Amino acid sequence: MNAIHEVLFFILFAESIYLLFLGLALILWKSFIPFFRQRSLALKEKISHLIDDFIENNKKCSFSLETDTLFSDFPILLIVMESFERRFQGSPWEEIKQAIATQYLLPQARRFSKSIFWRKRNMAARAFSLCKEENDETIILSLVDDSSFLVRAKACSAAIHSESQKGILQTLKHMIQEPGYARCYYTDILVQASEPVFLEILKIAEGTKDPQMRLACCEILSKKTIGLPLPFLHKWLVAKDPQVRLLALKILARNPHENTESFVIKALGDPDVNIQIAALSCLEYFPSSTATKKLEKYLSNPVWGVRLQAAILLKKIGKTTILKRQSKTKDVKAYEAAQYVLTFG
Amino acid sequence: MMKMDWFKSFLFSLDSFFLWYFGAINVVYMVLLILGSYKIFSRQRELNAEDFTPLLNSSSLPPICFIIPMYNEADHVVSTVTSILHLTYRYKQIIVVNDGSIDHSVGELKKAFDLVVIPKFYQESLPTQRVNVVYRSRLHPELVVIDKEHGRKSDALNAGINACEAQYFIGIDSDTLIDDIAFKAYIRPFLFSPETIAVGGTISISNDCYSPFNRISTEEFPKTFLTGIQSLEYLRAFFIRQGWDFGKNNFILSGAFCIFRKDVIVKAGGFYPSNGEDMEIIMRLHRIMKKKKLPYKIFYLPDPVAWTKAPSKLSDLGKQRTRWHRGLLECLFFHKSMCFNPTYGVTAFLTYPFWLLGEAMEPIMEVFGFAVILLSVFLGILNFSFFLLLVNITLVFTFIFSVTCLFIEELSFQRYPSSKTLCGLLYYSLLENFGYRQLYLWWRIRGFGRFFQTLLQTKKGSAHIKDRIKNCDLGERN
Repeated sequence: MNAIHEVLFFILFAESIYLLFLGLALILWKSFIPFFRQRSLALKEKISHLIDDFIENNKKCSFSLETDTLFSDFPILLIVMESFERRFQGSPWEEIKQAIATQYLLPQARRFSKSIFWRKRNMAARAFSLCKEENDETIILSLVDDSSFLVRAKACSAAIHSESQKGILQTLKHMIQEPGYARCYYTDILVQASEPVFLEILKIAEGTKDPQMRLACCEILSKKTIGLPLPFLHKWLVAKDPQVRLLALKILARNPHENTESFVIKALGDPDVNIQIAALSCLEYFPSSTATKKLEKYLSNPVWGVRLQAAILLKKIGKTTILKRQSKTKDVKAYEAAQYVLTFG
Repeated sequence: MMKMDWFKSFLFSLDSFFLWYFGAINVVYMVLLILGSYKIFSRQRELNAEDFTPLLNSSSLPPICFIIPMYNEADHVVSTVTSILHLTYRYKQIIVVNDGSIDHSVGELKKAFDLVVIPKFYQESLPTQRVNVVYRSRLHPELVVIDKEHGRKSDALNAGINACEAQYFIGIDSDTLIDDIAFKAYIRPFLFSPETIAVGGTISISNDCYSPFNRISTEEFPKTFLTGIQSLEYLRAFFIRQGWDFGKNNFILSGAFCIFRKDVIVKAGGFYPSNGEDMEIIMRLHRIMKKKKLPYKIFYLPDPVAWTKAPSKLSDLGKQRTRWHRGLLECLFFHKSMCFNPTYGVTAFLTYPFWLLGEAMEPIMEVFGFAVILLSVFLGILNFSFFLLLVNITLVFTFIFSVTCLFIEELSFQRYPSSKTLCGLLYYSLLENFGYRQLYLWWRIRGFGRFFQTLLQTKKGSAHIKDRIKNCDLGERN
């Protein structure tokens, strides 16, 4: 019985000590955390103020980059620089960014890129996506293949900004290997890229034998109006792979090309509903009477998506009279699609 | 006399049994708390490194569909829909499914969002009760309202899934508000692990809080004992779920807010009408994916994303807790074949047995424990040290557990930043052991009663679920 008594006493004692410790820790935390937060906020404010000053006072520096200790806190400096990068473009900002990056960000980023901690590698990648020097390409490419998404995503962004050929290829490979939302991230980096990056993607799309790679390239090309000749588009419009045909039509919908009407008309008869819808959206560029008749016919299609696309296009090309004359008693499907588009546009 | 001696020694041995039983449960809870805390602090570190702004501003994002099942929710549904419409996530589809409400819920929606009748634009992949009308909002075309005959919450969710055009959907209760910033974090698992099929999040109580600009303020929280006590329960439960998430063995993601991959849910047969449809679907997904040896992940994020209305009356709370316990028993019954079945790995040998013995059976054990103590007092053989030890490992442990949860919460997400709120919650965590805990015990025992009343129906459900698992066409890995 004594043993139980001792166990009970020990447990109660341990619990009391633990609760006392928690209480003290909570009080300390509550007292000191606002102080640390204030300090960090004040530092961010000071750095922002200096950069703001430089931009507003037309490049007159009120501080010395060499001696100012404010810039030595790498994580805070990085956060401030990223927020400026989102807001500013062009000369004064680019100059101060380059100067701060050369002096503080890049040397630290090079050190952090070899760290075993992903957070440090992430900061390195973020720094490189802000600014980089020519000899940093190898480091960026090594970060592009990092095991952590948060590192490789930022490194891909850096590689695309520097228009690195290997970087573009690696980003496309990540796009293929990582489905879901990650694919959206890589797609977006590539869609927002400069013209040389697009030319590189076009080159890869034309030359590759990997169907997945071709699809990835098509997906990017289908999301932007490029303003460049796409000689291989005719070949893709008749490709065996329905996925390629679909994406080729989507590219066409954004980049109208001559001599493609026959392909579009043919695609309207495709058994794949998505291809039919994509083909309908391409008809916008060929507003002939044949196309209008076809569109009116497609208003009665058994698939809602096709009916809807046909009605949207009729409204787009100004044939609202066709939509208005649809009668509920004659063809309820066409009437519904027409009314839907007349209401919601 | 001999018989009496034998009975007394039997009572003594029962003492030890209860001590070991509650001690073992507490050890598991402690381990889960440690694992959960580790996860929360890791997540906290990640939050500083994450910046999804470029992704969330992108036009390549796939749409997300919010499905809001609604039954007599005229008071909350408009504010919930408005809260979702104000989310900064760009591409969203909102489907409110009116599950045959008898109040003016649809009227409120019509008035607020200018709804017009549209043709039924989708094919039904899951069977549901008859859909009467489909509406779309003229003010916000992304909002669709489906008016259907009364089924249950699961049926309404299935009707929403049928109309969902997105790859991912979020099941959200009609009285739940979403925190805009925390919501963005929920994209994260889909970025990191493409094999993610479901993501759940931490739910908090929105009673006594106000929500300016889609952010929740807890300055005045909690105003009542019932709200405070429920928020403590939620906090404890979500810490434990964080612990289970460590090994990706969570059995429950809260039905108030949960993201699912649509194709997986459709192939798994949709939600099943039970009292714990949120737990049932997760258990079924574990069962299907493990049986077919398919790679999958079910995440449970600690970020406080959704704030839901909790019952403010004791009678409503009682009904809810009875239903929850009944739901838990039903789910464990539906998936009993998982228990100690090597096909299901850790889930079969650790998660399922703990849910059964530690969660489902716990009220029975507690009642027996009290009965033994009373009997011992009556017979004059109460071992006082044992009694104190038992009280310690049941009541005092709950208090310490709550205080630890509050401490970690304060160190991480700080949902309750005001000292007044924190002190109030600490006070309630002490108070809950006197009266409320016993009441909670009674509600769960009532859950047992209801479960056995409908056992025949549950048995039929078990067969239906077995069929759904058998017919699930998600492919198989050799």
